[in-house]
Amino acid sequence: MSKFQDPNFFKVETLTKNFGGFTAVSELSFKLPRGEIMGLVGPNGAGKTTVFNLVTGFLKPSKGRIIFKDKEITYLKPHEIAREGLVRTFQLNKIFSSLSVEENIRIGCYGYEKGGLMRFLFNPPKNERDNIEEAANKILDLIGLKGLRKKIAADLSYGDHKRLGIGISLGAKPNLLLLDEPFAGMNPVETQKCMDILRRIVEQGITILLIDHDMRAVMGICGSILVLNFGKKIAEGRPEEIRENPEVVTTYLGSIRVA
Amino acid sequence: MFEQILLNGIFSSCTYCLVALGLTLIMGVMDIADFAQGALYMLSAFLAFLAAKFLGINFLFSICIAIIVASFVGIINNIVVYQPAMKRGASSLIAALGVLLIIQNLALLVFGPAYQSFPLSFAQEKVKIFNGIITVYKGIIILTTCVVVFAIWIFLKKSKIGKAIRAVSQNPEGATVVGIGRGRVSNFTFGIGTALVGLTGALVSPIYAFDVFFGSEIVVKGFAISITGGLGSILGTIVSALIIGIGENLIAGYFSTEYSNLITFVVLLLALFFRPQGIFGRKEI
Amino acid sequence: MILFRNKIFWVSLAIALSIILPLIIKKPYIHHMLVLIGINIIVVLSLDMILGHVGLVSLGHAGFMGIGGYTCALLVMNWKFPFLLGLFGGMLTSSAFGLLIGYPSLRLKGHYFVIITFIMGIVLTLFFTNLVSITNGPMGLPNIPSAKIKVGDILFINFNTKIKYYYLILTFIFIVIYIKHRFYYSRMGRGLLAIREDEDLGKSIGINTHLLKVIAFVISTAFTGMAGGLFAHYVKSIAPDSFTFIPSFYFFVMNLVGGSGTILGPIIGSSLLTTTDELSQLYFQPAWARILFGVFLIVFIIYVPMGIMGLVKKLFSKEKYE
Repeated sequence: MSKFQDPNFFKVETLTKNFGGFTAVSELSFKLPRGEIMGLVGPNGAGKTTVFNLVTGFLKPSKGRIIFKDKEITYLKPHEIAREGLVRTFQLNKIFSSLSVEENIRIGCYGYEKGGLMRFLFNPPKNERDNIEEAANKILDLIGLKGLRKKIAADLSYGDHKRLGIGISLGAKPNLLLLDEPFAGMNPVETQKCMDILRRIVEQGITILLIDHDMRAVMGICGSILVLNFGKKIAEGRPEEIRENPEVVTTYLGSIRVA
Repeated sequence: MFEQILLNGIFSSCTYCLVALGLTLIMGVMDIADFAQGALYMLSAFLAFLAAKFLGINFLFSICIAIIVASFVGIINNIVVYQPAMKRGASSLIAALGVLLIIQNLALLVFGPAYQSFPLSFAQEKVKIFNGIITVYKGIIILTTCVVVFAIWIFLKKSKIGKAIRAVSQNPEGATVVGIGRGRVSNFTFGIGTALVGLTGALVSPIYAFDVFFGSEIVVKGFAISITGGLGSILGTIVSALIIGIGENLIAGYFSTEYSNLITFVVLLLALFFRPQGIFGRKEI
Repeated sequence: MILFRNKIFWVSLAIALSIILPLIIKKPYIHHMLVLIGINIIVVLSLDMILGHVGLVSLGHAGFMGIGGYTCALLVMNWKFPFLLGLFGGMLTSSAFGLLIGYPSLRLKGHYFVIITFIMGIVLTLFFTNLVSITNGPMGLPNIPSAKIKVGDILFINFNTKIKYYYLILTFIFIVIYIKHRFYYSRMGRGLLAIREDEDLGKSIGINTHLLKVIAFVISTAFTGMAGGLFAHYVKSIAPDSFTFIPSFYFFVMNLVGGSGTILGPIIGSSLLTTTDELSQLYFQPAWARILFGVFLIVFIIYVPMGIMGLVKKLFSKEKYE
């Protein structure tokens, strides 16, 4: 299987974020080639979610650039970045709780619909509606929630909750998916299911950058790993390299969930 | 003329500052936008007027009675309306507007629509400061404001309850964790806030002719002042009150009296648009 | 019976009833009431576009009604505009103002929005009162001519009776109901739903949340302005008094009591509370009406925030499980 090498698919250059006197992210630079799964790891407070917020426009960088698909997206708004194909999930998994599973996915597929005055006044033609239905069904299939489509999202189990969150972001037609702790709080069975879903997502041509603390899952699924501490990159490479890296081991002693 | 306008402006600022201070305390600690204070301001004025004019009570005592009764009404208001609203996540701001409407119209039925005026027999001598003239009474109010504001500032900074109030206003959960009783602090703050507003209403009752809708304007301005000053910042409230009070009078004096209100509110609106956290902004609503 | 569950049946019945209603009940006072209710329905439906669909409270909507009313009246009286064009002009100016206010304030948190709309309502009242050269100040505009629609030599209708005005209003109500209906079934409506549920999540999947909120606000103020024009040509004389905080407050209470986020809610709320207001003004002093509305507001916002329609929905969903 050849991986499409695209140097400017996703690149972060000297990304820095200062909050008053506190530096959350410091001179971070890395590249993510298309088609890979990269894991962003580090102890709590290392700055991982801040990186996500900076990259997706929810926070403005103090310094640095972010390049996606050859385009500089550093100062774009969150919804503009999402429309470029860079979509994220949230650490405290967000879903539309009072709606049903299929309504959640339907809203996720917002980008499949056309806007404008005519579409406001009149429903879209049947073929467009069918398109969206099809896309939504495909996503429900992929995340394995087709059987629960009518259930109210708030009533889902924790694992299903998280998968729904991923499903919603899939509706936005991502090229790069940023997952914030997709395995958090999952037991080994759910984690395995989730890893399968992620592999299927990558098979569809979507690149993934994920944050998590479950080192076994991360090592198991990521092609490359980036280790952060105190906002700085302390190691980057393949899982085997990272495992042997003495600095990483020192950083992590006591911080990993060993299960 | 300028000095006269400045004096008038300082006087206005004082009244606005006291009211805004009361509102900002309540808002900061209890998260309640208590618009009903406008009605309490009016009630206090009416009560002072009634006590002094009809019951012949000494003016100072009348003020005290007015403050106490107004605070009492305020506390009932809190128990019956605001606390249930907060418990159920309803907007206390909107509920407060409802209370304002009710109290104003009940007062309308009781007192009638006529404007009351109630000139004082003492402290009416005029004092000349530079080129401006001001009555002794207004001067007393200005001094009282300075004393009260200073007292509140010291109180918040040094006293135990004052520090508790600041703690709760900055971080309610954190305050509970370190053992500060949120309920007691709330009630106390509510009392102080209402007392400030009641005090102002009673103090100005001999100066303006007032009807039952007296208080609507100052409570809206008071709110806008406390927001643009930065919620939770006493200095911000003072600065903002000065800007609005003096600015208003400058416009009225040099430009046009009718438009001064309009311009004041437009400026406040713009301030809310462009800097909602206020001059010394710390806490967001 | 299946017939009674069919939505189309009930909607057709409602439309039919609304058309024949003034022909059955012939009292002019009832017709007057129906027109007032109708105008309020348009305003409250528009208000619910913000409250129900964006999730924000606007306490200054009467101000927009005033802008529309004054614009329409002035265009017709001073510039001899035909009525419909004047109405459209009213919609344009009120929505332009809506854009002006909405654009910056919809970026801010909800609490700020309420206060801003509240102050803006006051500013507009001061506007109407002070800009005497345009609005004739506190005296207002008297002698507004009746609404006339003229199409060449074919059509000429002079809406100078209550019953004719009722049908004029009814037509516009149907239009506004359709627009409101589209707030549920259009892409924009789904976007607004996403925003109400979780705005950040909406942004992360590409929804331009600010734009949608502003568009909804502009549509809402446009139709409120239209209601203002309709109001002006019915009462034939408007003054700043008609567009103060009190009517803004009333509209909010009507929306709240009827039930926000629905189409029937504003209709029920307007009907109920307009009737209550008119009747109480007839038999008691106006102050009692205000007190009543204040009490309604407090009781509903604390204990029945979902309004009458919300209660009805709850009752029906309970029935499903029995």
